Amino acid sequence: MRVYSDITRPINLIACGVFRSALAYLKLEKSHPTLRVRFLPSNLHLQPQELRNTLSKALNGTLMKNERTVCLYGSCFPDFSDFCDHHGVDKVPGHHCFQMLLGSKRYDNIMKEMVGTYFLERDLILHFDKYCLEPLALQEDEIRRAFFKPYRRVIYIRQPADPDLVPQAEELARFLGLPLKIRDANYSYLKQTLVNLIEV
Amino acid sequence: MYDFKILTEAVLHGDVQKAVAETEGALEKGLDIQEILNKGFIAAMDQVGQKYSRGQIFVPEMLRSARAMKECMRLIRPLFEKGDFISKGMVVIGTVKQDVHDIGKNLVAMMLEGGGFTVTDLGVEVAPEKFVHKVREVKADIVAMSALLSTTMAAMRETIVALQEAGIRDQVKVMIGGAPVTEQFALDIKADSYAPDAGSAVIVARKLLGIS
Repeated sequence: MRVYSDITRPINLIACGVFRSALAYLKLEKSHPTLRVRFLPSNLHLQPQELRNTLSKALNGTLMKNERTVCLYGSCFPDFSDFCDHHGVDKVPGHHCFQMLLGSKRYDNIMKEMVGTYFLERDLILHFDKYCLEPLALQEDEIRRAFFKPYRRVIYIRQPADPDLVPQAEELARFLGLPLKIRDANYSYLKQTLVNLIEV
Repeated sequence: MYDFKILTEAVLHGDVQKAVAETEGALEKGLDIQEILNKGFIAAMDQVGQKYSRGQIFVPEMLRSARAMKECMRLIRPLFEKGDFISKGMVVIGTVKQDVHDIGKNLVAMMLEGGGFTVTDLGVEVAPEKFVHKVREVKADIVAMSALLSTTMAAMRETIVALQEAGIRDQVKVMIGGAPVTEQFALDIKADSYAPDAGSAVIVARKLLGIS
């Protein structure tokens, strides 16, 4: 745990675009005026090395200005935590963005209930074609089966400010041949985790 | 001198028809099966692995290449029994206990097969004792374990302990991989190696067995 004392020092929150709606809803900048939030495109996940390079550039930029940085990402490429340590930045604990949206306990319970759970959230539903269908060639039955064979259900993590995405979620679940469940995210875990890091 | 370029290109591009036709042609010309494997399939899958690791191709392309290679292997597999095939090593692979995710494990298995290894795939949710049993049964050179979930990574350590308790840890190399797995974790649990992706798994396996 790093110890910080200067409360006027700018704090950068570099987050995956998947959290855009959550952070807009939480408005942490109001309670933490020195906080600056920057999003990186969520489709960088398709190319882990590109994500690493882009993140590295973003982190180096803030570190050169001697600014504190918090990274809001899951373990989106191998050794993500080590990468953050190496850059001297704090990472929000957790391996998956779904875990952060739902809260660690809820996520663990869902996975204990059924490990073959495929998660959807706003960003993924809205960009499923661009993020999954096209790059993973899911139109091809054989490839779709290869990817989704282990899954038994889809859970749509509905966020407070989501438009009505249930019809799209249902359509995607049908396409994947899996039953759909909905779980509502309330951000309490995400908010507390972020505040803990910001207020160190 | 046979030109393997068309075959390797066909596998590389996942062109099943062309790859099969080229393999048939090579067999008709009486080419040595090991040569077809080494200069055709293994060379092609090496390129696939490198391109994947460099982010030049993605999972579907890798799957298509593996599919092309598998179709070609169907043609030459019956000849293995005549003793024409020299395996690079015996690998037992599986996704660990309580983890059902298999796309990464399947890709590694395909790449290892493409790389000339003999692969026994135990599937998903493989308990430590099942790994131990199979390692003994097939006299495996390598155990390859995959986990997608941070919560199931612990089963990798359990499997290594089970191999130790069974007294066969020294006889088999352990390699691990999967999204939450890191090199440091591999060191912590005393695995022999870590492969960051399916493309590099073959290189790691070769290094483990001292194959150039």
